Amino acid sequence: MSHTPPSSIVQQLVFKDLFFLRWAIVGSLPTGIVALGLLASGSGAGYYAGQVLLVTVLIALGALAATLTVVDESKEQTLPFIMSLPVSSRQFAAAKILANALIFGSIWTPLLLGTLVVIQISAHLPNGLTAYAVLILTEIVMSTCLILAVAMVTESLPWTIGAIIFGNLFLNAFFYIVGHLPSFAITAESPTVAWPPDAIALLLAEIVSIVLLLGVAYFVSSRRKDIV
Amino acid sequence: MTDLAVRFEGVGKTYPFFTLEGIDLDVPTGTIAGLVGANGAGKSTIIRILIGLVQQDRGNVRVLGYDLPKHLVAAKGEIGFVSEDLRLYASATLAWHINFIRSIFGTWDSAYADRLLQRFDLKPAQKIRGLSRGQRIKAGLMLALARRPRLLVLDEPTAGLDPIARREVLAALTDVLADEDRTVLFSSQNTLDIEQISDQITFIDRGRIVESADKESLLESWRSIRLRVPPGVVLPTLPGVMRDGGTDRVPHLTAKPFEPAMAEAFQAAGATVEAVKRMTLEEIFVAGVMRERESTRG
Repeated sequence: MSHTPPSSIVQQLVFKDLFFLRWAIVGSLPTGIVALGLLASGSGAGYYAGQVLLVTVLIALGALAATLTVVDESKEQTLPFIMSLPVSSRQFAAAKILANALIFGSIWTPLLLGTLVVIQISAHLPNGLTAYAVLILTEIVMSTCLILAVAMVTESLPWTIGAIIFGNLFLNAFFYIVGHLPSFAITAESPTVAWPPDAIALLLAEIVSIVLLLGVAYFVSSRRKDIV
Repeated sequence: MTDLAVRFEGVGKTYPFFTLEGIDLDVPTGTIAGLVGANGAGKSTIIRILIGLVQQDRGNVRVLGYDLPKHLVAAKGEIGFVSEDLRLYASATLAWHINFIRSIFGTWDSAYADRLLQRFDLKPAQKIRGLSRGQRIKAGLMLALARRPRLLVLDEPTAGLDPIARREVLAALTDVLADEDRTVLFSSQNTLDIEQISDQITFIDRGRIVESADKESLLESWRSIRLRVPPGVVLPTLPGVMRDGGTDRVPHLTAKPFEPAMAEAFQAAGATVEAVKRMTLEEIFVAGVMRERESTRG
């Protein structure tokens, strides 16, 4: 065979998506750093604004990545161009998941670590918030995976927008759920990091949901027989 | 046995409002094959099956020796595809597309790509959204040709182009195909384009192949005949002869396969043969489709 091996094309498809989302990635990081600065500012308003900005940056990036890399490819009719290349549906689905993971992860990971550092070094933020910060930020991953899964399965903008709205509503509900965990009142104000059993159970549920959502997205997308 | 680049055997695809049925199509290696059909005839469905954008429900497809869809990825590695509804990334430059395709195809021929850029008057630094429709088709052609595919598939590449752009694209295509030993499958609803480029022609109508033959034998086998029939003369019924216009006194007939003996038979019956003419591809296409539709109704 004269063309490059299949592993290479997945890599090229991922690079392509990273290239088209480069400005979103570049723009998200300073915004996220500003959010962390506000969290660390020590004022009540700053903390609230930082929290909202952090969540907004991550949700916007996840939604933008899924919409531009998946839905737009179908809407703008660049999909036939890509699928006329030596790529299988499986490779294409894997590339989409990998690209979105890299785009989102490239911002989510430093912001998660930054949040944990801010909690550790800020005198006004008790270390007991660590578990809840992880829970909230992991929920945003779950929400992003839901948006990506809906985009990959339906390739429809209205459905994807529906998933974005549902994800946002669910995030607010999740804030309420976390705030009312029996352990929250005890451990959130604790000066040490603590992982109560209900927080661990919730984190595991999030991780399982993430795996399931990505699994469904890959399964359905990689078995699609008709691309157009 | 002739080496076949494409073989369709009993291929079918069913959609809610359209069915492609019983497609048998052979395209020998090195041929420029034209698919002619009206909008919605099934040309694009055949081409989409061939490049794996849709999967057949029935029948066997073999392309460049690969069975589809089983060996689709390997087959696509040797097929270049250009279509009117295939879009490049609007926000990226042509140079970005060239680098992208080059990173995937080890067969990319940079020197040939440069020649094509010059021939098509394309600027690599230009963004796709700044290109005219004709330039976009040429950009697609350049990206497909420079990877040196064994099979080039063109789906309505001239559709929607103004006459100047259409002529430019066809001229460019004729130039690059003239010195290449590759198989080309070219679909169009424009019979002039097909007649200009193809050496094998297939007519498609309502999801079925109406006729498939090499261009010369196709043009040779059809004739239009104009008669003058005096009152009281009854024309003989000849196989392959159908009336497609005129009046009872001056009927226009089409004949396939045409035999000189047909004209003699009409004259023997008392009619005057006023003209026997070769038909254009468009006339043959219309006559072939009308015959097929009548035989389906009958």
